[in-house]
Amino acid sequence: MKPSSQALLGGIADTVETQVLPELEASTWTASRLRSCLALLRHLEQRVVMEGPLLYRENAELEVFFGELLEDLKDVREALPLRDELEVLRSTCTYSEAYPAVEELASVNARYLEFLDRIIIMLHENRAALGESRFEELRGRVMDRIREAKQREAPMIDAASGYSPI
Amino acid sequence: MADIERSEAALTAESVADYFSARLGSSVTVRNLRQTFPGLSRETYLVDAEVAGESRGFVLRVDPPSGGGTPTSLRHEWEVYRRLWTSPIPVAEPLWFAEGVDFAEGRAHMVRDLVAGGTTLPGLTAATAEGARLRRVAVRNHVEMLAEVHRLDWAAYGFDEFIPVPASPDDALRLEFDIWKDLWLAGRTEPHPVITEALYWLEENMPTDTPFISLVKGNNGIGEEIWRDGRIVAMSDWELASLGDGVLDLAFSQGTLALDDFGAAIRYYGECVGHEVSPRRLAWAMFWIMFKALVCLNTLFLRNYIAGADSRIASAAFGVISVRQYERQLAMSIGKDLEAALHDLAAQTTRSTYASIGATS
Repeated sequence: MKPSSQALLGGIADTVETQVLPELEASTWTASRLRSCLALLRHLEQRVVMEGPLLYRENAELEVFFGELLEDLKDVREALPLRDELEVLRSTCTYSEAYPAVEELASVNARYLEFLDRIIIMLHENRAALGESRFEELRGRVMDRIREAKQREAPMIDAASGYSPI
Repeated sequence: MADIERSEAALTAESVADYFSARLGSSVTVRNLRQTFPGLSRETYLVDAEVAGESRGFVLRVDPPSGGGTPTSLRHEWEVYRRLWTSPIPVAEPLWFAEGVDFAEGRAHMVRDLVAGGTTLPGLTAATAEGARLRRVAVRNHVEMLAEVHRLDWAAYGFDEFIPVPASPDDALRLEFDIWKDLWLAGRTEPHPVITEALYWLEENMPTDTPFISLVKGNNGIGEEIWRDGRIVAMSDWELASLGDGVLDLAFSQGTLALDDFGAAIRYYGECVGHEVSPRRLAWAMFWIMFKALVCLNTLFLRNYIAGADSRIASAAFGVISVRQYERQLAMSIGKDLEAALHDLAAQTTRSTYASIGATS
């Protein structure tokens, strides 16, 4: 459908920024609310395009990452429950449609991030047993994974960075 | 100019006049009621009134309908004011606190006297010699005030009656860490693995060289305190007050201490309190304040917005955008030496506030 959602959001944001806000005194509450709206519009302008594919890719890569990491921890007794849980996640985190809605992708992503949280906690709680060298290697892999995710979502956040939230 | 008078319709000049008249036992006329900007954590109204024919100014501070943007209650802030009023720390005279009464929809509120002045200084940011002089004076005065707060005998004024006290100076940051970690875990809107990892990083790098336990103001600086003739005449907005390490205030000046040479400001603070601030302790505090801001923005602003309790679009903007910005900064820093991490972050901004501190990189 033309224009695209991104184009419409960008058009609304441009109108607010160049034609509406300049007509208001900067110190007014109305202007403040519009600035908040503008920051979110600039964020949404990127998010509407990026979010779905990003979540789809993230979810797929996290599932592989979990499998590889927990395979490398198969000698660690405390990691065994997480291996079982991963199997449950794999069987239950499936999509109802071939082209899943963003809400469904986000729901799966939230479950995967909660699982990643628990992996992080398990690593730290077993730091002594793992030994410092192995712990740092595993922690490094987790952080690389997290940083990569943050870099990928950066355009959605950077788009709003030049705009005040108030 | 009517638009700047108020943002929400809950309070009117008439309702304030009626309430104040009943409370003060005198006829009160409200000539002007203006909500200060931005007032995200709490609503603050400047009340220009006549009480029995005499001009008088008040400050009315009210919890927003969502309950507020900090984890502490307005009563907590009232108790801080009540004790500070009897201390050498300049604050506006606290007059009364109430909640659950037939005013402001029963929301908690406190009233204090209006101190003449403003929350900023005219000409402060001017690129002139006078502007530079004003910034130097303002920064030194702010440091002196923070040092006074941190050297206050808080026990003598009863702050330990309602604020948790660290077991020792060495434990000051540990208590702070435990309290705010619990707030995060209880209130986060979704999993944030980067924050989970960041908390481990902060915990394993936690300084234990706090020289003494201080009353800590929390958010401070330009935009918070009341200034007049280049000096602070009243310290204001104590919603995040705690007992702990004063270094947290140095990290929470919201850019004030960086208006002039940040390193010089920190060294001057060390002279004022009689203890140097180690670069490592300061670096930890800077990252810690990022985490605290993130806790407030996510567990309060964004959570309340999602739940429909807070309809302000700014809450969504802060909760969605600012939280992710802090997360990325932490993600890029975790695992590094604290001071090096802060230098790296500072190098990414056009105005580094940390350039004159600590180790070179």
